[in-house]
Amino acid sequence: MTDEGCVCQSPKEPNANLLAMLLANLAKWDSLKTIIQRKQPPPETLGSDELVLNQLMDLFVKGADGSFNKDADYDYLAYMFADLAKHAEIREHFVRRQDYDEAVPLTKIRVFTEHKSDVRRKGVASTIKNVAFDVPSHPAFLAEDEINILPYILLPIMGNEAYDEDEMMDMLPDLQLLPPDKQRDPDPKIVQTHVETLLLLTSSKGGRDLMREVKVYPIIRETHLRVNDEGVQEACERLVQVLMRDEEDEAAGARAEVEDDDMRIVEV
Amino acid sequence: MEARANNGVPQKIAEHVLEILVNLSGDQEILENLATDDKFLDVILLHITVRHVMRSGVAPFR
Repeated sequence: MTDEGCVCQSPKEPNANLLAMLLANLAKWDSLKTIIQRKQPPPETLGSDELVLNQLMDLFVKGADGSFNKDADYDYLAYMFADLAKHAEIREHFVRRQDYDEAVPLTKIRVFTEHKSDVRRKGVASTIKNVAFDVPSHPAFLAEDEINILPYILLPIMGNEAYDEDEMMDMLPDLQLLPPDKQRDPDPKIVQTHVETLLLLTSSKGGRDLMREVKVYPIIRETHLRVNDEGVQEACERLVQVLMRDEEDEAAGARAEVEDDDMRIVEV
Repeated sequence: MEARANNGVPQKIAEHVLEILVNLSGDQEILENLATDDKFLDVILLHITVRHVMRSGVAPFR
């Protein structure tokens, strides 16, 4: 298709957002997961590698708010990533350090859980949750020097509520002393998705211990109190049950909790 | 369908075609047809990463 004539490159595709929406829809078809094998020459200005999936990730990151292409923000690519993350091989890709930029793809998008675009936030939250179904990568999810996902999913579910000083002191540094105008994510579906990601991450004892240590419970308590949404409250209750349970009966309990029928890959 | 985006009119056509495809791809049968068409995916993926303007007149969208 490109073997005839000259191919002139310009980062100004005027319909890039529509193309992103189309790809988000196409990702609902399972065979689109073969996108992971696709290669094409990367555009020179993007600084990406040959893998199409990495190029799309870089477009999504560098192209936010029209900074790569003034006609596009590429927000809908987040929905494509979320649907692709239903597949194990894509989940593994998102948590694997890439050679060309030495970055784990998930670490490049985690910052968008606080972005102003509803589509971008929702898609990224769903991507993170779906990738969290990859249980072997949970230690990397939680490690501060790796994916370090906790502050990025806890910050959006926090508002400007005040905490006791001893609770606050144990919280992650990024979550202490939030400004008085700090607002919780206004979309309850996104809040629910983040709480469900936390629930998935309780499937290991390491995850549960860490969440107790950094005082996730008071954050969930306030979320439960302040978000008037059945889905959010239910997710909070399930997470609290796991966090407050004695470790003795956890071996049986926590597993069952996470593998409960209600915990499904999220469709966006 | 001609969708060369280097002059005003065909660019609009590309936009309309894409809008139609976005809407139609909600239908399972059409979704399968589009998502399993390798050549079509090639074109979509090339276009979203960089805009390729083909001087030879090859139409990117069928």
